[in-house]
Amino acid sequence: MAKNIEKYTYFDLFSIDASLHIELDALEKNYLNLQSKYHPDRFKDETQKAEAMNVSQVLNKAYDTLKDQFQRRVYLLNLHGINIIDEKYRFNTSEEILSEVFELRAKIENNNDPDELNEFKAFASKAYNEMLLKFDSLYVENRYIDCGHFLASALFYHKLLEEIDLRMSKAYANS
Amino acid sequence: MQILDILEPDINESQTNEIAIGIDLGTTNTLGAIFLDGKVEFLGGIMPSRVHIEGEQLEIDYANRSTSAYSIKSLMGKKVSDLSSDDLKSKNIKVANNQINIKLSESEYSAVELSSFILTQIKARAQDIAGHSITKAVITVPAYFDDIARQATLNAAKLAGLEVLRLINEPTAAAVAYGLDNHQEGIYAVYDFGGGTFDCTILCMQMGVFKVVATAGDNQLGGDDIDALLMQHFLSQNSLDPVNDPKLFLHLKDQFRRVKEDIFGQQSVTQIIYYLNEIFTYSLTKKEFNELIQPIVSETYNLFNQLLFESKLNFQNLEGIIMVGGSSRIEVIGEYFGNFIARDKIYDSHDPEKIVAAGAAIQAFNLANYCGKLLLDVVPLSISLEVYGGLCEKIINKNSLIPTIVKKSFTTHEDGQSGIIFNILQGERELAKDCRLLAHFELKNIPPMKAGLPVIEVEFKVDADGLLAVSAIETSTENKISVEIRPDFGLNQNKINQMIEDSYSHATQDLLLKYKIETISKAQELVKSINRMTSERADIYEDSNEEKEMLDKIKNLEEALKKEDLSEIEAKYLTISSMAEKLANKYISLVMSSEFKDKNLEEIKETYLEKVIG
Repeated sequence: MAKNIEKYTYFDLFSIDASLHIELDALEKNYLNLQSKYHPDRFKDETQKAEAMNVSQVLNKAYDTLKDQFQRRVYLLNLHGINIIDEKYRFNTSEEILSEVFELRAKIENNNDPDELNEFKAFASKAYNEMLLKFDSLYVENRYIDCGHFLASALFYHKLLEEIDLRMSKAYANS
Repeated sequence: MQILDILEPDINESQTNEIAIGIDLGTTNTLGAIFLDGKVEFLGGIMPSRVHIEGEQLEIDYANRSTSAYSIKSLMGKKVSDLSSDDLKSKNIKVANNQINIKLSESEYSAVELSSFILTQIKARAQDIAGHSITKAVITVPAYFDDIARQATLNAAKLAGLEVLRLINEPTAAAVAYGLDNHQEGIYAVYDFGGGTFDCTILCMQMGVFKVVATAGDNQLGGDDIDALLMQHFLSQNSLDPVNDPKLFLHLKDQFRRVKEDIFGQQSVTQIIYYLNEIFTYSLTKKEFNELIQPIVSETYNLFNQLLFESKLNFQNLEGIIMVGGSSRIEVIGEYFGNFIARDKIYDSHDPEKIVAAGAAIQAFNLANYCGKLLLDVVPLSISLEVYGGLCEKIINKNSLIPTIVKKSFTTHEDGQSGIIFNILQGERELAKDCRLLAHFELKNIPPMKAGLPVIEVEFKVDADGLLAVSAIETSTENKISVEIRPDFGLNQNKINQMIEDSYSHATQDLLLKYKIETISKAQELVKSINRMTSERADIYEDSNEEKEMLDKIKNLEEALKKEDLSEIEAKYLTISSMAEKLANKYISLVMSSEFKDKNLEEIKETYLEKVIG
């Protein structure tokens, strides 16, 4: 029932298993199928249109969340009652990680050298991927609280990588 | 699994198809179209987006008058603080009570009113063709238009008596038009270089759905900048000062638009330029032209390449590049993309100036009749909330699919805190002050509780038009307080106005300074041109009395200029300007009669005057 769409998990909506690794092609296909069917543009009656709007909004949010490997993990933890934005996770990152991220941030600021940026990206990616791997191994052991701590720390690298990408796209476009 | 148990879509084949207009409301030109019997029918020719006033009647300006309002779209949703010195120099802008108006003769109009007038003209054309009243329309906007500019466009349509079925992004509309005769699935890029805006969009066509992947652009980059650049080139070639008079500016710039158009398909162009009672010739080779415009077109390539990079794509992934907008015709642009992608993948077979209206018409038909391809677009700029320390916390990331909904919980920081202020921003910058303030609201009457106990749930919704609505509810108690706002509309309009006013008191000072500088240079120019005329033609004055009167007036103005007293400069300038006009007339007659002895003087004078003053 459209009114109850919020009762379903994002995975349920697209008929895919709630797991760390998903078939992106299946996600894409199911998403497009559902949008084609339930987008508000397909309805004339105002009540149905409003219901469809609600469905379409949730589908878009769900698709954007599952498509992204980081957001997907955040969402999986949510399903287990853990929100990494909570202070107990967010403020529990080790000094070591924080100072490393901070240092890298300083290095990429105003840096337009594609080679150097690439180097920083490789470095940050490595740390980030290791954290995600660690997360995955804890996740299959159902150690969700530990997962929360790892993901909260990985968030710092996630944001850093976004910033490096932005820098790189600028450097790349200008070269 | 059947999760969504709602009725099947309403598709009623037997129903008579409803007509809705697709409108490309452009910076330079506007075009309407309707989709009838399976094909696009344009509503007459391209209509200039220029409005002038005849008596008390607004009219579309088909004659490039230098007195008309133009590039109105670039003012849509603009705040006083957004005005550039170019805006002030090139348009007859009046600012009062933080309202930006354009002056036409003795009346002042907002950009929304003038846009609305253009829309009524398109609507009238459609009704003439259909033979009955039409009230529904799809209007296109630059993909990179922010929420405020979208709201302004919506308001203009309402004022014109149009029900907007959807605001769709221009690049997306162009893709829809190409999608008609091209069913190749895959990823496409749209390069949309118009008169006043540049947009690029990447979209994926799959399973009968157009899904936008990412979009980027610059709302202050367009073909107009090329005209201005050529004009600048001309001025510096002839050691002439920058133009500060809006009328002169427009008149001169229009002549360079023609240069730009004429060089298309040519190796060089030579054009007569009329400026300040003089006739110049301006010659330009294709090579020089390409070099001159390099900085502008490079900027478009940069944005395009950056978007590809951000989307983790390269040219090999693209099924094609769709070329849109009059400025995309410039040959050097096609040549550039030809370096990266096969020529037959560059889609430019449709007229780039008509393609957006065509796509809008198709989508208008689809929406009015609940059929056709589905369009899924994205938010062009991130939407954030201002958090402690003046930082932005991103709530909806750019390139999120719309419609979308995001909920966030907030709480209080002090015991007994009874209200929370929310500033909603749009933009990619980290600091709130660098982003665009969309709206400001305060959630009041939170029951007194210990800090951190109240739970305030804020809901951000972006609808399919790309418009944002925000509501907030305090959920921890029985008393639910909710407030709903829509930027630019909504309950808190007064508050929003107050906020805007407060934040711009500083901007108004800047504006005054700009105005002062402008007035001073205008006055200096006038003195200079009078001196030039009198030095060339001693016989310009009727008699010595007139000469003395003029010299006294000039002296007064020069004194006022020295003192930099704005009101005095204005007053002296006024006393001198009508006399100066008379002198200019006399000067032209004198020059004309010596230069064009054999011709009909009055006739030459008239055409010449028209060209000089407009």
